[in-house]
Amino acid sequence: MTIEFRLNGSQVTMRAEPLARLLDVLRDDLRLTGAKEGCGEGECGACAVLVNGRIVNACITPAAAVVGTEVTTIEGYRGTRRYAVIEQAFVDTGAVQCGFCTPGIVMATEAILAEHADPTDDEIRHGLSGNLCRCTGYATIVEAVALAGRRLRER
Amino acid sequence: MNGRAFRPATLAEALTIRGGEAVRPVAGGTDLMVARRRHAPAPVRLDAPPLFIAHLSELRYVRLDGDRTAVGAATTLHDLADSPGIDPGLKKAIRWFASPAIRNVATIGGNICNASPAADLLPYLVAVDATLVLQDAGGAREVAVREFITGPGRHVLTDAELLTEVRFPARDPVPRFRFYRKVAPRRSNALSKLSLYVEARVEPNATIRELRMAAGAIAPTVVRFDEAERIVEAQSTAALGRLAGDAVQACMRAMNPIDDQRSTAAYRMSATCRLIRRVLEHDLPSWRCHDRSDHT
Repeated sequence: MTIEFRLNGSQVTMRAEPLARLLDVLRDDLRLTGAKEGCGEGECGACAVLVNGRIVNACITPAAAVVGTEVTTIEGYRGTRRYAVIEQAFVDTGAVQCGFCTPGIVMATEAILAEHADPTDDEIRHGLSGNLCRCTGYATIVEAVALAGRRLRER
Repeated sequence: MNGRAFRPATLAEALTIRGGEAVRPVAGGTDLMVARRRHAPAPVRLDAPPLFIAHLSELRYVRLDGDRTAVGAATTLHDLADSPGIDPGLKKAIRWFASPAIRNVATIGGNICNASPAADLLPYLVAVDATLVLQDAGGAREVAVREFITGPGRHVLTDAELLTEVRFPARDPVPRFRFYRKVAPRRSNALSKLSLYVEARVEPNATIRELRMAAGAIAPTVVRFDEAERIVEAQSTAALGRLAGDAVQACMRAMNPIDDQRSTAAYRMSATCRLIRRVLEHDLPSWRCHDRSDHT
């Protein structure tokens, strides 16, 4: 079927299998490889993108489900000022090791801070609960989200 | 399938398509897409073109009427939890449902129609006697959620019908004891080994009213513990120490757990019994209606 949606601010019109995974559409057809495939079954969050500002797992999102929506991947999000603040917070707390989970975790961070400008520890952990990281042990990531929130509030 | 799919613009159009040929209704797709994944042990192939319905605004609403709450079947769990006036018991179940990313997509109707014995919303919906509106191009009927699900993945929806609305009966504003526990290996994104929902009113003189208990993943369908409810109904919380044993025995008779990749029948049985005993002997008697903490 023909699917039309906005991707990182630009209109996209393309052919896709209706049940094709959004992750494959992004990575294989549109060559946006920031969203990663970890588990392929919605458990790890490495493929997280924003659809209409809400975090979703691209690996279990059918292409037909994004018709008429605004999709933001890490490639589009990295051009924002909020991204710059989050990136620096991740650097400053050492929240990135191998980096495979990082694009998804950055998208989750945006989702958390969009909903809670001043998130509690519980809100941060709950917001990150769908993202797995096998390197950091999470503590530095939780710190990074809190730090990014603080810096965004102070701006 | 060759890419055939339907993405109707209106509910009426969806019902016409549904009545006209074999289609597979797809809401959030969060279970279907996992079942179809390439490395699945036996990837699911659809035997009919998908009929996408989650985008239909006519199926996405939460209405609080005087005598009931009506929820459009394609309402996402996020939107449901975010709606004012939603029962705290339901909110508790949603908080343990998958992850934020999946709750942004998964729908209440999908969780019901998937009819998993481990479905996270079903213990609550079965406990409160939710009803479902099943609609076809010619009209609608209303069935109790307990009658709707007949086995794992099986329900009474005809090939021409769609689940369009979920209704919860009126809840008086009296504070209630509410307990929800999902037993699983991970806080998020886990499928239940078992899950338990219990609610009750406790009158000022400590009489228990409207005790409702239901559990998931311990039988082919979600189980309502009617017999145990009758044992405890109208008794005093002071009598729970004496009654809990009988109530747990009654619950055991309603369970029929299996061994599977997530747990064993023996664990499911013993853990569910111990949870119920703990609720009846400890949590419910020690609960006070002015205790506004979010009891988990």
